[in-house]
Amino acid sequence: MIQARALSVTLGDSRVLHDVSLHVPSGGWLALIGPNGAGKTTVLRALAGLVPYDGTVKLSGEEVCAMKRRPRARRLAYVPQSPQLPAEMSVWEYASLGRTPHLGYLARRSHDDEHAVERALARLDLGSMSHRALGTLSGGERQRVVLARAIAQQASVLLLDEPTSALDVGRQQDVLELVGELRRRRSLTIVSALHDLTLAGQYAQQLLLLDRGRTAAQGAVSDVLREPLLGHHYRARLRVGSPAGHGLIVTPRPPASPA
Amino acid sequence: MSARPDSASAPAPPAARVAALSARHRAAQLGGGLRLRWGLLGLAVLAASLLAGLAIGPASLSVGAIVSDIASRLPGLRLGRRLDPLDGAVLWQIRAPRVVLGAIVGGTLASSGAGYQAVFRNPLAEPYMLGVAAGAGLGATAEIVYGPPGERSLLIAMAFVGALLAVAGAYALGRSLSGRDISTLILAGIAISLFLTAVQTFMLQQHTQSAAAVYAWLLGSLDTSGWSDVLLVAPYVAFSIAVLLAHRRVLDVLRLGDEEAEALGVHVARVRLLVVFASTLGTAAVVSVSGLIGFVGVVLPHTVRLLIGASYRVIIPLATAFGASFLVLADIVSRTALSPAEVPVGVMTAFVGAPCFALVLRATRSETL
Repeated sequence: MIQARALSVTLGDSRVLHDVSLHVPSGGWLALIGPNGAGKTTVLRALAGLVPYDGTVKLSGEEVCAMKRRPRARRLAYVPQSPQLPAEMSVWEYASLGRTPHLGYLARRSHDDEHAVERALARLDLGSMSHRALGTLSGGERQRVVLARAIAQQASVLLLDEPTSALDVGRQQDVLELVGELRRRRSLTIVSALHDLTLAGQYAQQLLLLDRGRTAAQGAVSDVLREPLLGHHYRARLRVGSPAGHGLIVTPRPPASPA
Repeated sequence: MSARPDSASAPAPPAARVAALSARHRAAQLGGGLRLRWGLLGLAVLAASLLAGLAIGPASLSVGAIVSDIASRLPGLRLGRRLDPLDGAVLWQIRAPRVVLGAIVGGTLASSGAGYQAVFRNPLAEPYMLGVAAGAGLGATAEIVYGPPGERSLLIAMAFVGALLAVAGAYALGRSLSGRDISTLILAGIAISLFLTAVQTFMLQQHTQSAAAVYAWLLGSLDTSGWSDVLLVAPYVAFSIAVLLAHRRVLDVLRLGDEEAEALGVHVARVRLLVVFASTLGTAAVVSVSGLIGFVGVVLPHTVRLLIGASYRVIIPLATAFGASFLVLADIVSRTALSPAEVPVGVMTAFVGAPCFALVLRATRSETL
């Protein structure tokens, strides 16, 4: 369970996040949506304890910024939008870095650590490329490797910043279904930033719409994916449809044809 | 909300798939086996270099006689035969301290270079960054110019203190400008180096009669005064290399960037400070006894990186072993090439090392392109 109350973040001289509150129960999935620069990444970084914040962020009742780094990383995995992948590092080595919080300074990886990495790679269909160099992978493969590292971390809370941005539609479904499966099987708590509003509505249980660092709307998918609300905050013409009860689909609406 | 229906059948990776991956990983461990072979090769090269350093010189000693003498001194064993007293003195009082010091200096410069490159994530980082060379140079110059002549221990102390003060100054300046920003720290090191070098130049200009002695120190030498230099630097070097070896796995995590390393539970600022401190302390200690020996700290880690792999779990120990071997071999060439004259070992490291590195660079680049 992760909870934030009156979360505010100031970077330099400017306040980029204002009094955001959220609560994601164990096994829940909250998607952060909003236009570019709305503060989605900042919320995730604050939840991960990576930026100083005002307010409170509690992980199962413990204040995140008061936790030591390694115990925190054992319980909370963060996947940034543009992770750094050293070109010469192998897929296996990279995924195995997810075990870092579980290892003492001088400890060697145990069989359990290796098994956790192998399972994470297998889950993401990366087994056949475990010794390939990261520099040789496609964008989609790289994104799956990053997710494999987070899964190998075996944390109970996953913070994902645009986990599907470089993937084709099939891989997007694969990755989000895998995240959903992990959430259900292991009661993982997921907070993800997602650009694709349709996918956000299909996979998450709650949505939090941010605009200019403030909460614009929050709640169940049907409460947030509403045409006037989205149109106003995205400053776009959008249509929200529900074809044959298969969830909500958000599409751009073409401009009205001139008379 | 109409979440996508959960497929209850969505399986965990089948055991067969994980098993296949395990097998593949074990196959990949052949890469680990390869690293082990490189490790053994590193130790073998180091042992061979040390033996060559002990054997080669104006008084020729055979490798067999040296090995026999060493075996005879091993406690609890009754093996081998001791050299006669004169050869024994040449071996243990003249050659061994120089060879051991060469190995210590080379290993420390190479491991410190790797440490700097890891924490600054800069392939051009080297052990003399942050003002170590300029500080040591100024300390040594001040002692040569103003100190009593022939006081080697004082020269070592002044160089050591100068190096540490320079780095402390660079660190204080960098922090006062922008907290923990790495590039500011490097720029502060450059500013401090330029300032101290200017002071050193001014001192030399005022005392031109000392220029030759200062110049000789700056070019680097392993000409020791027996075991005292080795014993003097050993604790600092042991601390430095132990810290770097202990951090080699964490240094790989730093390759992901500060934020991701923090998210993985690494206290980045503490690791960076400790690694920089250990690398600097080791470098300051060896520079104070050997003078400025360039090339080793930059090129040896890169050679290991190109030949064997980019993981610091490999680079730190192997760069230490190969750096030690390299300097011992370069010293052999420096004291025999123009015998009885001696070419400064700092010159020799560049003469020997630059073509070797060019070959490695060429071979590995042509493979990867």
